[in-house]
Amino acid sequence: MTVLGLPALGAPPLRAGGRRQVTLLSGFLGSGKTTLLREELSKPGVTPPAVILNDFGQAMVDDLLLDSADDSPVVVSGGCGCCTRRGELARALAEVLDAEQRGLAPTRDHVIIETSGLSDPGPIAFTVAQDPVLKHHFALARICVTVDALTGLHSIEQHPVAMRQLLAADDVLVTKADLAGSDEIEHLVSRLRQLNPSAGVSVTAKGQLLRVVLPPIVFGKTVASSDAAGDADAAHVSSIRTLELVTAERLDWQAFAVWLSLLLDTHGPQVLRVKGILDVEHVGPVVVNGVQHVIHRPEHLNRSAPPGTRLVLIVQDIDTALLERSFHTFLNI
Amino acid sequence: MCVLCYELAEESHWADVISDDSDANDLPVRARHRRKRILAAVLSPYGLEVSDPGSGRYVVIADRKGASEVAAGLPAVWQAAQRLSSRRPDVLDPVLLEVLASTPRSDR
Repeated sequence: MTVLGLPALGAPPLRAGGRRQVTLLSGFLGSGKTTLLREELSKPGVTPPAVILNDFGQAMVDDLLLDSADDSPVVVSGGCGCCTRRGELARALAEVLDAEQRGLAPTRDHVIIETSGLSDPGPIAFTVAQDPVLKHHFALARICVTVDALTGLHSIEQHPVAMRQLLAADDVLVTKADLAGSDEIEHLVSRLRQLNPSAGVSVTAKGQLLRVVLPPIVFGKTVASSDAAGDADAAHVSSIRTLELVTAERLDWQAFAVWLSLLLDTHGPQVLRVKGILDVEHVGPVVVNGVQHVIHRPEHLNRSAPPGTRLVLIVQDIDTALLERSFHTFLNI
Repeated sequence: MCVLCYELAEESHWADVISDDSDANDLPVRARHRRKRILAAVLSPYGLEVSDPGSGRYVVIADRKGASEVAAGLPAVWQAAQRLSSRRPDVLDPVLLEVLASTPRSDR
């Protein structure tokens, strides 16, 4: 696997339930998305994915940087894939499918969508998960978000969309680490983990992976970490707070589903991220993953997991103590 | 669309499935019963009652004046409750949490 999760040539197909896996590559303006993608695509021995590029401007540059002789990326320009170009993004995915089925393009198990630097990944994830046609052919595998080692923290603190990108991330990719000092990198990694404890953080330079810091919750195991979740005071950025809900006993799915659906119905815009592993009564471990109001289809975890439930919620303008009380109260109905 | 009753098939909701290989069109009886009891406990402080017509993903939400709505799935339940009650159900409502905490835990 590469930084973006591209499998090696000849590796077993990635498809989940027959669906092509989609990786969203997001990140603020100038954070190194295209450089990273170009490095990934140039690595030898990697199964090439289909690539869709979205740029805010009318004149695309990234496609020229990425274009190769045998397979050009699909381009969606002139607006963000999360708003004005959302329909076109869906059409671009349909084109990938159509080209495959007509024999005009090789069959791909993996699609990478590089979003514009101003895109919110949430609505794009919604498009992939909810489009009546696409959802049968594509499954969102993960959201990778690039953060510039030099300017990333400033962007996150100054630009709400950069914060939303970070909070939506399954994997945070710190770029340009060769341009920053080791202390700066340590501080940045620590802050990123405080802001989004559900995401892993990879430090890269010129597209090369330098090191990986696992999230406290990894599918299938729990990682002890001294600087990860639980430090609620440190996780404040204005009114955004991180809450980790933990239960030792097995969880009642119906009570949880009623609680989370009512939370999203009433406070959906303030729930920025939901991610965790639930130890469900009569069922076993179940992975729940949601970006803003979009909850992906929960999945059984096909590996053993430690007993108990660990759920990370990142919320804005919500009293986390009251939220925690509410969670435990509903589970005891 | 169902070929027998011409009902439009609803989109599957995340709360109704916990596996890619399960069919979301209906809930098992045990889960239906459990969900109905939880919904009844949650909506009672808002003056609403919940009953189960016994098919599909439907529940009936009614107020104490006799007005009622059929809701398919949890999002529809909250929308119906909002229309039927003068107060919007809220997981962070301290009154709701007090009532739920003082209610004996139901049998699963």
